[in-house]
Amino acid sequence: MAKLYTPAMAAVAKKRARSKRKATSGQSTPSREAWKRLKRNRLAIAGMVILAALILVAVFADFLAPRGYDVQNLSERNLPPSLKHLMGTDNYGRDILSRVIYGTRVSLPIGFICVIIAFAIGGTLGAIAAFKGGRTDNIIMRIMDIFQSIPPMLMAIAIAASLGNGALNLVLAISISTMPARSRIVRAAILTVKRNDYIESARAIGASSRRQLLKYMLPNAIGPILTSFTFSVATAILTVSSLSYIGLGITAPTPEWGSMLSAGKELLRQAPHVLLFPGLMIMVTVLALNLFGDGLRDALDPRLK
Amino acid sequence: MSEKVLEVKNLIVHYETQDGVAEAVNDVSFSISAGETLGLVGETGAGKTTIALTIMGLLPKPAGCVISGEVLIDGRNITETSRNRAKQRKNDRMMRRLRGNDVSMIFQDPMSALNPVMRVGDQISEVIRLHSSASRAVATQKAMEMMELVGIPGVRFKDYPHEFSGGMKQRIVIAMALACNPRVLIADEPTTALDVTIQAQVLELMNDLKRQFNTSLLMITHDLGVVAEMCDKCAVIYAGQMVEHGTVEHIFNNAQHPYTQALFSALPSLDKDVDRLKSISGLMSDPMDLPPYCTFYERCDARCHRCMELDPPLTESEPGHFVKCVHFMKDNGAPSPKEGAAAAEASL
Amino acid sequence: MFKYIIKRLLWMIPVVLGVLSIVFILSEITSGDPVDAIVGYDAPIEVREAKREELGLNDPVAVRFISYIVKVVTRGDLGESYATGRPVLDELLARFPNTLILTFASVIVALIIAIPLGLLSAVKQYSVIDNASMAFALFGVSIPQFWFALLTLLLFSVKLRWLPASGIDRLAGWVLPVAMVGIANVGNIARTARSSMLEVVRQDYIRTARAKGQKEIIVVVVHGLRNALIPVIANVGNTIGVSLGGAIIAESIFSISGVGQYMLLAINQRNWPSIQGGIVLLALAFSVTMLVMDLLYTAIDPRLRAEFKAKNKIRAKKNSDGEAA
Repeated sequence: MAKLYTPAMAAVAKKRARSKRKATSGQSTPSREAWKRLKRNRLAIAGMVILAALILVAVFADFLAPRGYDVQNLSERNLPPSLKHLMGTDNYGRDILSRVIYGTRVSLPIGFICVIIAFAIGGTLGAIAAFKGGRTDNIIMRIMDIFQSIPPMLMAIAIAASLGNGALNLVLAISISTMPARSRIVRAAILTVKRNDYIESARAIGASSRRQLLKYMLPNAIGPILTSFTFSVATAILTVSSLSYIGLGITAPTPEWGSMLSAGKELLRQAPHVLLFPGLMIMVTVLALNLFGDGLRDALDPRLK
Repeated sequence: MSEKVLEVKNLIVHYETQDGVAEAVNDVSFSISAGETLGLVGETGAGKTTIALTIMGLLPKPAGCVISGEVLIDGRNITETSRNRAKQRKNDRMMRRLRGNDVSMIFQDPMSALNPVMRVGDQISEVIRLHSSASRAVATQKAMEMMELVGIPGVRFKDYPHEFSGGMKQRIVIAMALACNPRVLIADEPTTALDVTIQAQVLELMNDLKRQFNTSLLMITHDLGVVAEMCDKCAVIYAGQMVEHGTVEHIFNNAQHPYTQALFSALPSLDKDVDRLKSISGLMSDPMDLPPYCTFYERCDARCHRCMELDPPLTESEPGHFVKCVHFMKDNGAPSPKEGAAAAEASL
Repeated sequence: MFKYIIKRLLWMIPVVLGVLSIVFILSEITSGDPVDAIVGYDAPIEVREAKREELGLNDPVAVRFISYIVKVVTRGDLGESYATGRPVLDELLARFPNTLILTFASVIVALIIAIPLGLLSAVKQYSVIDNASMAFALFGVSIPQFWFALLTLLLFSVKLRWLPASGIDRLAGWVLPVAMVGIANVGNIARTARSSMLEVVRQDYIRTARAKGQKEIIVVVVHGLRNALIPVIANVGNTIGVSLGGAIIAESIFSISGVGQYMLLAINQRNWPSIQGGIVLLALAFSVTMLVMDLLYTAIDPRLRAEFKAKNKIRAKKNSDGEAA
């Protein structure tokens, strides 16, 4: 402290401090803060990296897969993993590695599409219910209640049984069965936001209902919705594989991971490797989504964790 | 009045967070005698609550840590920690026995201070049974008496917190805090969350009970009116440091620190006709980044070049009146007759 | 409270009608002629027509819809199985207990394991225990249940021969099915319990309890636990729904004679009365469970109980001090 401070120096220091404060406060919007927290979360980053890798595998499946997904070779049935077939072969002599690789083209998109549809329909209904309130809210939510009195898995099985096999029918089954739950999430998120004072002030300055909903409520409610979207994709992928496993979803020769396992129980004794890798792929995918979802939730709501 | 019930000596408390170290309390010392009331005044974030939590041994773990200093309750040091596990357990046990029995606390927000799924009577008798060998029936009886004492019918013993209004909840919290007749009561802004009409009632109740039980009171507030009404002594806290300390008369009649003066000039006055209240410009220094010189420098009306050269110590300006300001330092010869001191004199 | 129960019970009427409508619509849009499933593709046309007339398939949709609902509601008549010709209700009720046992056993076991796990992780946040149990919980919610079942089958019945691969004639037969359905529940409940407890220990009333000089363990168990369990209990209904879905698959993997296995078999045979009956029965069971859970939930949270009381009081005499918080 030997240096002598003059008022002029102090003024400079003060100005500098103030401009620094302004600069940092300008940067730290909530979403940017959340992104910063997300980047610090190593598990969430791991989840993102795995997901990115899976998407790359899906895009470049043709280059990565050593064989076509439906190339059968009956002389090579149920072979254990070897250098030629890194994951072995199945009961039709198909290369499991190739099928697992092509499987990314089935499970990932279907999982995402199911959730997008469920959120598009359910979310819209939930948003209308939350925004309108009163009678509209009551009617919409009571209908959702009735839908939800059939557990989602049972509902999906029923719809899939009614519509028959196939990717499109499976997507419909899962979207419709999960739609009520998604509507609830959107409704709850918007109701939470709706209670805030800035919505009141938006109304006070005369913003139209549309504008109130799209400009003020949705952006602020997007956090929990985004988190729940991620978790929903994880659940959807599990449901897709479960339905395919019991023969109600995507059937052979399409290389869906769950359907690849449906022959598993019979092969338990002779060729346990057949059921190892597809299941592992499902788990890794779902795990990555859950890790990312956890990270997202913690980043958006720093009080938790 | 000379027996010191609570002594805080050179207390330094830091919060160690992910973003850095917040220096919440920096070298604070004070003491309270039996039956005395000390007011701790300061704005939000000054470190008042941290001081209270340290005395209670309830600093949030693991972030909050006592760096140095002592807190003595009835001469027993409660900030001692030990690496030895058995010893630390013993310390913890002693602290638990003190909490609620010798020293208890009223929290700021009565709305959330009570367990929502537990009957209020059970919550009061819990503290009684913890610190005495009273049977359930006796404790219940005592709890009902306490409720009557704070002006709530004892029959509401079986009600849940949500069935009471905010003022009544605060009364229950007070009943809970006084149930074991503690030596020291810490009240952390007990009236801030209440309606103005109820504030006076609660303060009056606390004053009555304090006298009745001869309890020492540490009153944490940002309301100078509360200090005037309740306190014997007053300490002004700024950025985790005590900037002025003295009797209520000292502070109210002869405020010497520029911050204290600014606080008073921000108050509306009945006898003077002022067009506009004075506000204190700027923000309090960031506790993560305290300057090495006087922490009030940036906002001070009476600052001079010397304020940036050193961090002034707390100096006794008149018997029993301490100020932490360059203008009142004695060892530097005459206090510099800058406008600060002049202003201090002028405001008398 | 009484009023609430009545209201909640009355609500079951639209729920039942709604479920029946959904089931009826699904059976209408399904492709394929039910007569094929009963008399076979190659039956003479007269036989087929006779069967059609007998089943009322030639009636207009509205008539069939009404008669279906009337039959189910008034007589509990879910029709006859195309496959066996026996009443669907009888066949279902014979299999229902196994499904119930599997569902509830997996939920209860999961609660017993997951709640302490979640609470312990919250109390010892960031400790080894916390990391280990949360890794386990994450694994539980991420692993496909049927794959977990196959792996445990491989390990415990094929390799180690400790547990039977199918059948429930011995108690040991339940272990793997319950584990399969329960694993996801453990993950979910432990994660919910942990975040709920973390939220609760930050609350002011926990600090109040500590300020009383209460022992940490009692603060956590007495003051924290009950508050932290409220969201967990609120979620048990959903957990039961998810478990019911898991049980359907578990029954087919472990050859347990339950409603799920019966339904999946019926789906393969395009045996719609049996499918419909299974859905109606399970949905009804689920709705009743939800009803019980709702009532239980209000019992555990005095604030909710008070809400119903307060509503009645307000209606009686319109004065309240606006104490909503």
